[in-house]
Amino acid sequence: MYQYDDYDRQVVSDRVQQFKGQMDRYLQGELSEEVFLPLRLQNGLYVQKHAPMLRVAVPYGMLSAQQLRKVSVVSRRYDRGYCHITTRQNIQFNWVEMDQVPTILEQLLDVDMHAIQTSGNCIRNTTCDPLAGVAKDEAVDPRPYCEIIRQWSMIHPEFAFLPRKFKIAVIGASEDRASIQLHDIGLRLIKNKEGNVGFQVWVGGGLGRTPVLASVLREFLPQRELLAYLKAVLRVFNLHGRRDNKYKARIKILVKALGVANFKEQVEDQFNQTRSAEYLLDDNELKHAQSFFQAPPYEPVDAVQIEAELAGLRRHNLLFDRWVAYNVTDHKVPGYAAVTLSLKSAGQAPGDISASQLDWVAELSERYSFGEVRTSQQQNLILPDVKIASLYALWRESTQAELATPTIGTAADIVCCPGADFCNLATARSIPVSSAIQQRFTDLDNLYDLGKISLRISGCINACAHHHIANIGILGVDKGGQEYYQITLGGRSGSDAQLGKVLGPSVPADAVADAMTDLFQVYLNHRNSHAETFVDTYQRIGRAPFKEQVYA
Amino acid sequence: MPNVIKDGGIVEDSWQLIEMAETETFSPQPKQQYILPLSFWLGLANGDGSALDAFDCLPGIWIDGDQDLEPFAERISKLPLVAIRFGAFSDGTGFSTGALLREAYGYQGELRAFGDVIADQVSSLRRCGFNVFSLQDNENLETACAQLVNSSLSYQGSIYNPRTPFKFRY
Repeated sequence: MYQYDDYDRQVVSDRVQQFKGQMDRYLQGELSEEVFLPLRLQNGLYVQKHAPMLRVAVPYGMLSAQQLRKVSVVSRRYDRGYCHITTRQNIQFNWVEMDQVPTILEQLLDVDMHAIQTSGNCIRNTTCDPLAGVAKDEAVDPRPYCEIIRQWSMIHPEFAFLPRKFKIAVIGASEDRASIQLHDIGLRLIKNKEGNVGFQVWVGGGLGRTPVLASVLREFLPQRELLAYLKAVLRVFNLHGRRDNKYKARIKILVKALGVANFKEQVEDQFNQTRSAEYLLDDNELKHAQSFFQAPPYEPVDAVQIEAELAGLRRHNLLFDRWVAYNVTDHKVPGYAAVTLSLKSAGQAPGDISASQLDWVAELSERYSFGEVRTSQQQNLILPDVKIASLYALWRESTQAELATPTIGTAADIVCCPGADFCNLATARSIPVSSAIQQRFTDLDNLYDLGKISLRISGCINACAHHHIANIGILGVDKGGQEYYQITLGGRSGSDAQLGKVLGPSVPADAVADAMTDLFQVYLNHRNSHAETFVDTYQRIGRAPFKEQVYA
Repeated sequence: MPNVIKDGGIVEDSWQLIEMAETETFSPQPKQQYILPLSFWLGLANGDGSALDAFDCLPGIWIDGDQDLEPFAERISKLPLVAIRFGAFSDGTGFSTGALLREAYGYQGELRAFGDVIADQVSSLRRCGFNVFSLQDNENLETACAQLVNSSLSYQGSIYNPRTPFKFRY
């Protein structure tokens, strides 16, 4: 995992001090509300319905046990004893006091954490495959490049006041677990025929009001040219992106307006004009970045024996068996597995985690996973390096901590934004809808029978829960002061990303869970086998049968 | 005369900026340095350029942040001063326009930011190649200067001295 050196600490500390000064000037009336707004946003500070919200960056979703403990302390001391994991792998505190924020930032700096550029019209936290470094299908580990981008984008002098926010995601595996096609820039690490490492560069993806999947901008960008190329893309965006209409300001609109070919020509022109040697990454730098992400000291194991023991335990304990089936993922190293700690237990807002759970996770990670944790876009936590021989013990302990809900990848693993319960932008609540749907799944066998389904709920058009790419997407809308919900079907994430289509007129809040039951029933009636997933059935039979049932 | 921040210190501004509306009746005073609107300057500089003989001091130009400079890049590169106007401090187009002038068009003269520029932007503007800042009337120049002093390390360096993040750190 990356460790700050004195240089990093100085950069972040300077920024914290600068923000402290800005906060003082604001509180003393020297800075107007209008001027302070973008300055505080660039430091992660929103003003929400009930209280200010602080969004803390989790660079490419990696956290250490020490960082988790600090987050726990902050949530106890300055918040209400819990925090929230976002769909972009970050952490949100929903109840902080404005004037305490600089102090919180100083405390986070003690453990190499910050809130810089987690909001505002600038380059946001770079996201990544939550299984980076341990996935079986990985060609190149994306994390060293994420760290390089983290540093390059932080307090970049030219790109702090962009037309709109700008999000970058990086993957190095064949399966896309970071949804690169939904990002302003998506980077896929590949090796070309000669064995050289580079990036397939995607541009112009995004959700919100106008959902668009990204297009390929460059089939192969040599790794050393990464930063020079990013600069060229950002500069074209900063010079030509629209600023007259907030809803038309993302790079996706510029790329559409110009056409990919024309946009590409401008980027390549800019790139060729300003690609001087100082912007190129040299081998020593890359090696240095890679040195922080070496494999931990895995123990050699007798994989056959361990698998046999696991099978025995699963046969004797149904609950453990279910948990292994849903919450445990294959690992590239024999004898190891990645374990998802679920933040979706019944009665809990998706992605919320209490201070004591944070401490539990810190301890579990130290005992079972080399002290390291990942946040996932599905708002869960992942222990990436667990010995298969330890799964049973981990299951028992995580069950006690209420982190072992065995529903990962099912319809109960709902992704949900904070919605109108917290967020100023939201037009409708999302958490109550999520829990109403959750309550339908009291019988796990019925839930499992539905197979793999992604279900995502956004409380407004900004689409923080990424409902467009869910098999079942739910979007809160306001209809004459009433909360209504639009349903989309057929969205997919990953390498075959697809945007969902609207089912029909939006339904009132108390009808959403019933509508879900209807959708599931249509699927069960029409699927040609248990192997055919919900979204595949939808693809085959089309929207009509679902629509008929829901609006009957 | 108003004060500006030049090369890190607060000095009296020796340049006079001419708005577009003023150019109709404009005639230069002796020994005065002027910043002219781009289109007006182009009118004077076109042909044999003799219209510029009326100026004791070679004038500079001002442009909006989103002005495309490519058609004039070569001629602009020889000017003593280019000023970029910020219509709103939240509109960062000028950061890139300034950087492009320095980086791609080899501009070496004075590069100034004016208009809706706030104290908290000067250190980033400096790293993009600006060396003079003419802030909004209500902005505090001392606050701006202090921010210039307090910003030392960065991951990108500046347009004069760009770096990759891990350079010199391995």
